[in-house]
Amino acid sequence: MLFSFNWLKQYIDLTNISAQKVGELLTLHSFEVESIKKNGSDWILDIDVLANRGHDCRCHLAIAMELAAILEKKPKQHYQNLTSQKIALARGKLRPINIKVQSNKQVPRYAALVIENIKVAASPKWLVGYLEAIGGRSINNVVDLTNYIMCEVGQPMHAFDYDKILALSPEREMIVRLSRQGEGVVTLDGVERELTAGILVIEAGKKLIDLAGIMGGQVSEIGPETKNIILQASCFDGPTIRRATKLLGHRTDASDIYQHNIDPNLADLALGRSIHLLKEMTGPVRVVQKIDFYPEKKIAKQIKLDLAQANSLLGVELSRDKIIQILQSLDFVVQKSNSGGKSIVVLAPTRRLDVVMPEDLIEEIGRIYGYKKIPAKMPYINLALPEINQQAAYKNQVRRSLINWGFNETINYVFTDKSSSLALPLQNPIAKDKICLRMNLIPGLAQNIKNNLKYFSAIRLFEIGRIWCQNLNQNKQLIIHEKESLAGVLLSSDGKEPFFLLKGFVENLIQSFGISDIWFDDALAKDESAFLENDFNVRALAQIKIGDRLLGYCGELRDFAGSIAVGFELDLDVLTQETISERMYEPLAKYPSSVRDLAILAPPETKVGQVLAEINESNVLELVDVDLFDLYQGEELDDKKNLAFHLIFQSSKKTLTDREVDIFMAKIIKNLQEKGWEIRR
Amino acid sequence: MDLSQILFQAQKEARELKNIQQWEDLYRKYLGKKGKLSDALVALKDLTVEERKKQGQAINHFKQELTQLLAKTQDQLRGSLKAGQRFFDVSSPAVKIPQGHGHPIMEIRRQMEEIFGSLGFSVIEGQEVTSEYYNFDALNIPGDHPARDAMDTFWLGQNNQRSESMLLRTHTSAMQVPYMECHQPPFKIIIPGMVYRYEATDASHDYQFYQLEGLMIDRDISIANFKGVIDVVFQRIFNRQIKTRLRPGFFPFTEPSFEIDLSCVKCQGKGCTLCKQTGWLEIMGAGMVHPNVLRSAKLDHSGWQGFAFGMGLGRIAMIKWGIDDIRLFFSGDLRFLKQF
Repeated sequence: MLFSFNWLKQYIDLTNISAQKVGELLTLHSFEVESIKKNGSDWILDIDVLANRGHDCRCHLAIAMELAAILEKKPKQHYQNLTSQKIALARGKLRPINIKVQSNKQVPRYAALVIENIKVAASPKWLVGYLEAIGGRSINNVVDLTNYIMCEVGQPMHAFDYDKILALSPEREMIVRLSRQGEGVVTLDGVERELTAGILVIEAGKKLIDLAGIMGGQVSEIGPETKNIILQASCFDGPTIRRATKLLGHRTDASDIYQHNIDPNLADLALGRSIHLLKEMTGPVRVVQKIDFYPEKKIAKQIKLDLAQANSLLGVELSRDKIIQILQSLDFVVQKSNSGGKSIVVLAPTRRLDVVMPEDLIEEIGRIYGYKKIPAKMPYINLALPEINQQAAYKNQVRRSLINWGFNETINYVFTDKSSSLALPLQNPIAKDKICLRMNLIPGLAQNIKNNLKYFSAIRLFEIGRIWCQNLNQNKQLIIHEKESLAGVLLSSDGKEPFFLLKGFVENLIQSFGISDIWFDDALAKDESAFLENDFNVRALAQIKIGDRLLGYCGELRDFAGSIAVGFELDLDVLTQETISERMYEPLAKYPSSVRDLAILAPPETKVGQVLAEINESNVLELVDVDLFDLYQGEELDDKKNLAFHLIFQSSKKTLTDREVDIFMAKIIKNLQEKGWEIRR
Repeated sequence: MDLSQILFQAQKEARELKNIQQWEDLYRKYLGKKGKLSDALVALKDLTVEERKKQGQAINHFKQELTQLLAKTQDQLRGSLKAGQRFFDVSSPAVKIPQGHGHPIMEIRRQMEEIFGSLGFSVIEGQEVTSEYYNFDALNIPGDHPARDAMDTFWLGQNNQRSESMLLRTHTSAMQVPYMECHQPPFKIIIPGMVYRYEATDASHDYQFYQLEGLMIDRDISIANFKGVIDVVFQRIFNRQIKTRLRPGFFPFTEPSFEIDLSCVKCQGKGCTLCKQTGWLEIMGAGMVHPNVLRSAKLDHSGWQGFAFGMGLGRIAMIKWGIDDIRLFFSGDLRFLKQF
């Protein structure tokens, strides 16, 4: 919001203080000054008034008051001086306006003056200058005055042409109410607006004449012909105005202020100031009627402030006097208190709607005193160990391993174009291809590979992130499941089967969590892998299992013509639960091991896993390891598979003799032969 | 099988040798303790004297041939492995070892966890999909509050079929009350995680970004303490003397509230394009926890007080590494990711 440096100087002595210095002080104590630009002999400050001061600080007087408090100066002109303008009522010819406020809740106060015989003309130079300096436009003296008052004291105003209202409503009745669906009004900017229900409007003679708090209607506009006016300075409910601007898709400087709620008492100041300035501009002014609908007068709030609490929260030792001085400089009234000086009772001016509790006062004290002056101090606290966050620690472990193995960490957007009954849809998606929350990480990573193919032929990526799904509970309510997932993808160009490389990484990774009973099963069960078919070639897709528990998937990705990309996805919650962090030392073997080789010829569809399982199930305790070292399938073997293993035997009690190993081998061979596999010798 | 056949077999196998390991296996198979040669020798005892003499010569020849064969193949293998007398070029390129890289945001997160962890802060992770209550109401942001406008929200569909309206959290502060509901002060935590806002994207805005929340509640925690903590944190993160400054801010869930600026890391406060000539970089919002938030968590607000802050880790990464477009973080572009 734009402010004129010269305008501010009307209220506070800023000689010997540059606009830049003022900007810096405001930034550190009140609001950020985003820019300071030269404008002739003036400087224009763009001040980002904070949302909690939108009700009182979007005006020059308030900013000047802030500066007065920061600089510890008395303002030149005070609110009290300005309001001391008494409005004298004159007898006039105009018959009184009847105001009917139908929605009390939305209108805490409706105040207006009926003024007779006004001279509408061009504005004086000073007024035009100020308005234009802050980006405004001069229209005529009456309209400019209302804008000037708004920018000076923060009360939005509006002027109606009395005679135009009289023409609409011979009973001179103005009704303030909420709009009904389908009503229309042509506003001052010439736009015809159709209204939805719930917008605050003013009606005269069955015609809408004003979008209250936002913009006036053309039908009651002030023009050169205007003689008598109704000058309004009202207080409308903030949330109502805010909703209306959203419904209309239209906001104005007035609605920007109103939407924050304003102090209903501000109307007195604004109207008094208007009459004062009107007189200056046009000579004597005849106010013939004062309209004031104000059912519940707002009074100053009393807040008790514990001085020790203030210093404790700020982390400083401010004296009672200093605290009182700061509060008084902001127009707070400090009352005596009989707590032996430990606390004070403070009356906040009614325009400070934001100050309702001690912490609000402490903020005022802190910022005016200056956060800069509060020294940085480490807290004095009892030593305590942080809580263990196992999940976070495990994620870091995964990250370290995968990065060491050449995987690059990526983070993808969580939105997807794939919808299903299990997927969580968004009510307001940001784009047509981002309608649901992702149910797995693989599609994002597959897309990453495709995007990177232009520059890389070997790609390793992983992601750790959230995935979601939903289902109905017994009460037919949708329950959301949010899980932490880990996925990795790999694309290599060296012609080797990448599935087994990835499988090796997956095995290593899982084993690094102390889990040993992992195995890879064919993923055929359609029901649980239904959505996986979109991402994987089911031909080369495995379920990764720990015992009976499904940990995730590993397989070839679909739609990679020309190269083979593989990927895996694991449920990190399962991994965390299955992790065995306790480890025990096993004594080193005392006796040597014996190695025997075993080759079998099996039908082509035989799985290595089956053979391994059979070897292991031969009930030979001394068989400590089995390694496949050759796998061959060829015509000369009648398309059978030749599998060759190293079998390692070892006992913890003695050195095994050849004869003993022969017996073990015989036992194993017998077992395998029973399965119908041929042993090659 | 006669010895010449065995020798023929051995020669065939020798041709297929690929490495020393296989050579050793071959050696064991033929010349080892239980190899073919020793088999043949053992078999001698069953022969007559005549036959033994004849077979003995054959075995000798067999042994010679085998020994030569194995010596030759060993040399061949060694020669291809070991430089031997040949010219050795150390400037030849190394074997390419795939090198992985961590995501820059996760790198900042890791550093933050380390620094805050050493100050005794626990790391808490919450749900990214949360309720309207925890994201707004519990944080003193009721339904008609203007602050909701500043945090345009992704709402989940089918909310009519749930007990409360759900959304993607717009800030990690949404975890404050759920955490405080089940923990007794004093505590000090950080909450890193993804947050979402419904807004148009450009080089410095994205609809998804990574935040780190901090919350410290104790008996006597002050603004001075907040300054003490963040000063050391930023000095560690940027590895240099950093000045911070607090200026008034507004957040419904803190009172007092402030914005924190860092002295520009590029120009040390002199003014440059990064800091738009101000010498300062906006880095985060913070404040003293609002009594209403403590009330939401059913904590006695007169006994406990503390600070909360929230920063965008992407923003810190951008400052630290001079990244000029926030959208690169979630692009999955390896040309970007491999730089960290």
